[in-house]
Amino acid sequence: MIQPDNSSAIITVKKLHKCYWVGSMPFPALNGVNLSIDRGEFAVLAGRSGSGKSTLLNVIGALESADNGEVIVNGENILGMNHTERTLFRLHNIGFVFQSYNLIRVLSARENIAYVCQLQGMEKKESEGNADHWLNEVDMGHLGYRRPDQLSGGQQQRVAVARALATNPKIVLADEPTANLDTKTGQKLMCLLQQLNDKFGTTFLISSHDPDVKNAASRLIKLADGQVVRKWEKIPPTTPPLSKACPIKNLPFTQRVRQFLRDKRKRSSQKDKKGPTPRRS
Amino acid sequence: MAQRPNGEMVSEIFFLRGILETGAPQIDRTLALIPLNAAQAWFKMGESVTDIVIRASSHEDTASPLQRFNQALSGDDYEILAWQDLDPMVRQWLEFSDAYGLIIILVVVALVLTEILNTMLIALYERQKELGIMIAIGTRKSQIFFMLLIEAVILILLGGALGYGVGGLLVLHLSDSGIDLSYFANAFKFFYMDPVILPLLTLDSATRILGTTLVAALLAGLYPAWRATKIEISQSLRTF
Repeated sequence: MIQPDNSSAIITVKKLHKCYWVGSMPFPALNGVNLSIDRGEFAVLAGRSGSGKSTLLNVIGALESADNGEVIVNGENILGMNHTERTLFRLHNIGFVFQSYNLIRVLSARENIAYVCQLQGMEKKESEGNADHWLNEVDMGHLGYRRPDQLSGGQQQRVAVARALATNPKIVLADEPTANLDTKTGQKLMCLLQQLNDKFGTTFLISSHDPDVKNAASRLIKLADGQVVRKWEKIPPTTPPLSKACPIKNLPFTQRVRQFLRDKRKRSSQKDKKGPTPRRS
Repeated sequence: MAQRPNGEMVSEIFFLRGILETGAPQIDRTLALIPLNAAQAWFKMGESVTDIVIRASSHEDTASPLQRFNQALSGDDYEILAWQDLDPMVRQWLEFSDAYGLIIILVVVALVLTEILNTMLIALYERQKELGIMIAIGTRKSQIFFMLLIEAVILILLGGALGYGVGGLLVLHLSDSGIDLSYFANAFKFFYMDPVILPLLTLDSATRILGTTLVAALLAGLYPAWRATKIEISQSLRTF
């Protein structure tokens, strides 16, 4: 086990390579990705289809192995783990939210959440209590006894979010969480994820090409052809959120970037008007 | 007409009281049954007899009484024979019947294996995504393996209970009338068998067949359960 360094990074990816093979044809998915995500961040991976977003999430989430490189998540090098170690690592460290919800269809919403709690070793009653708590957190307490096929897409995704957070993970990885939802439901879901990020300080790493998701990010990482091509560094909020209920709506990432650029331009134009700063003799 | 123990040939007239059909034409053509006292008087044998037949409760329980008779009558001028030695052909038929029964059990096992393997593999294909989700969120592969194995056992226990229930009712219904196969009477005569078969369900046969199918179910469940542990998570999550 690698001990975490002094930095606040919870995910560190170094020179990560991953190639898929179809017969004898190689399809490189990741070409030396370098990345670092801090604890409590709400980061978004953006990029076109085939840019390597999902593969990167799968590797970070210990769902897939890689060919080369280093992936340190919460102080552990996950590429050196065997199957069982990876499974246990996922169980105790990672929460997943998938594009197609991926709830167990034969279990009710409540049972879906209680199941992961029981995998962590909780007693049945305790796990059911925990499931109820998380269902209430995502405003689904009244629909806990419904099976996934009796819930709408948005409701299923809320249950998936509750399941992801019920094990108290360090990181939640969400792969295109709004892709199967309509715009309004997608926005609501992003509000929910942001609120949960604020409330519990859980690190979120989301892959998406949905503009609303990108707007919600505290850091945006753009991937192309399996490489990180651009990063927007974390920008401290210059204005307080207008509404605590839905910070994404009132303080989207792009607005904050625009505000930052406007301020910068204003400052530089003010400097130009004042003329050159006198040199000190 | 018959021959007395002293070699004298004698004849006697008897009134026919009925015709007994044993199921074996060879026996029916050559055998006539007369009361014991009539035979003793005819052959001038007094109260003596030439053969004594002792009937055990089961054809399998003859070893112990045979041993006791041998001990009790040793030294006397008796010849004590078990049915197997008395009529080796019947023994051969029974051995044939046992072998035939074993073949039927093997066929049943093969059918159970194929059926469960097929059902479980189809279920595995259909549940690939579900199993992928379970592994992704932290279910260990050993847990998946035992879950599928338990499912196979439950499947066979439920099927077995249903089969025994229906079979038991059928046996109960046919225990008096039997299954009449007179249509095939000629074939049965050849095998010294009664064309009316009375079905019998014993605890021994029931547990033997259930035990066999249970073992078969476990064997058939092993491969799909092992296959389930080899599921590629990211690929199974992409399936619909």
